[in-house]
Amino acid sequence: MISLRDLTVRYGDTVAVDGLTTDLEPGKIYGLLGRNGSGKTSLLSVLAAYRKAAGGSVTVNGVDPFENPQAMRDTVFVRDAPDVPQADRVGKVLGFFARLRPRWDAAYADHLADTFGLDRRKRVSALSRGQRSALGVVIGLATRAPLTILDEAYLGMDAVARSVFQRELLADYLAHPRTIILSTHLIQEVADLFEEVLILDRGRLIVQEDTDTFRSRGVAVTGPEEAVETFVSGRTVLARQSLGGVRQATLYGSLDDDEQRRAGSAGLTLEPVGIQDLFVHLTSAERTPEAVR
Amino acid sequence: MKTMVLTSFLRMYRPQMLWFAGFLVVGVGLADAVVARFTDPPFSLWMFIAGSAVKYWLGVVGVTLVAVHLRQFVAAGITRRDFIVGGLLFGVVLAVAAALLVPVGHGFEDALRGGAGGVPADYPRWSVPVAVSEFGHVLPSCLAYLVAGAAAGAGFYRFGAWGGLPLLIPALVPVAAAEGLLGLGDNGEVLTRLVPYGIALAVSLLATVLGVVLYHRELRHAAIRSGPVG
Repeated sequence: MISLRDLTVRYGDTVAVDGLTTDLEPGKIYGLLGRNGSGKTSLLSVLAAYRKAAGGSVTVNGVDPFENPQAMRDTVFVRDAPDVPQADRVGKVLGFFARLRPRWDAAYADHLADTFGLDRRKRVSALSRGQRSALGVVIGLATRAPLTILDEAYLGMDAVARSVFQRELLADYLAHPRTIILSTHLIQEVADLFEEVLILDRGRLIVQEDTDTFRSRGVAVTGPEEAVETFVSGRTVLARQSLGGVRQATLYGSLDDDEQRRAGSAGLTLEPVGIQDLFVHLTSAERTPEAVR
Repeated sequence: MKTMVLTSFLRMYRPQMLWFAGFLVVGVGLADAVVARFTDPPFSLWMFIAGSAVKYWLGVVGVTLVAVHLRQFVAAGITRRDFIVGGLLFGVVLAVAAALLVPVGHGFEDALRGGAGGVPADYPRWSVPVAVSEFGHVLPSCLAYLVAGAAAGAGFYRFGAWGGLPLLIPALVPVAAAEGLLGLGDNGEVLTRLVPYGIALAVSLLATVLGVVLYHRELRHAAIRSGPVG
């Protein structure tokens, strides 16, 4: 169990994570979403003991992970650029992690390296952006750490490699269940992997829900302008779009059966809203975190 | 985990150690041979070159400990504390190896030059007590350079270019103490300046320990930065 209480991360006068409180149950895949600068990497850095929090507390299985040998051994944090010497060859990098990571699965690492087409003789500096990300993914998955954190880990990968990554992540998670936190901007692509979604905005947690519930919260109401406005009156409207006399309003909040029937009889069409669209609306510049919560 | 850090470092640096020692032996050996063809110098070329090179190399290793390896080890689940201790243990092993290389090389040079028809009277002849003395002088210098490099590198890593600059002064105290009190004479013989050897050794080691304290304080809460390593 990961517990964060009033967690704050600062860089000088800038507050990256602002009094965040939440609990994350073990054995789930979490999607951590947020715009650039929303505090995702800062939060993950604290969880992985890469950084000390400025305030509040963080515990992983009851202990503060910072400088805790067991907690650090049980956590792997893969950032957009893997933390390995650029001059080292891929084979040497994998060998290094194999010696230091107690749960390292060498056969699986080999399988992943082959799948991503990583040449073990190549130096890290000679790898393309996508290949470097692939190396990070190999490290992240083959470590088999009970807490696996992947922060934009597949940046620069081509569509095929990203698809392989998603397939391998899911298969390995099912074979070796653990807590995985996946931070990404490619929301639509990986949304189906998430069991729970966390959205950070300007350092604050504005959404934490299981993915299906979150998905059901977004409804697009389309129909004649007046009917739409009447229907959405008093509800949280995330966005409005109009074309001629037709209007579409994106609502935040699920509709019960009665409300759905009322919409139908008013000539309105109801459609689900994708996680990415919900995310865009919830974290738009004009919307404050307080307004969402 | 400290032992794993130590063994990982030894594995990583083994090729470098062998290349460095090889270049030193071959390079100074060739230079000695060339010089001996034209003159019979009253000094030990080996002591001047190897005696300096080993400590400078240790200084460079100290700097790279943090700049290249800290992120790598933390990413592999190693705590900063274990990294510091394991890295310093590695540094001690490296310093002992380097400090052994110097008198051993001097012994070979002495044998080769003595065998070629005697050496000038001022040449620092090799003997077991001389070798022990050389080891006793080179080791604290190597440790001082290693720790100074590590503390200086950690200061820049933690506090950036400007913040690390003032920390250079305390970081270099071990080097100042070792260079000020323990050194080489005009012909490459080891000598102790200003105070007796025992005091010079104690002061040098104390300064090195203070350097270790500085290194630890710089790193113990250091955030792991992103960006290319090495």
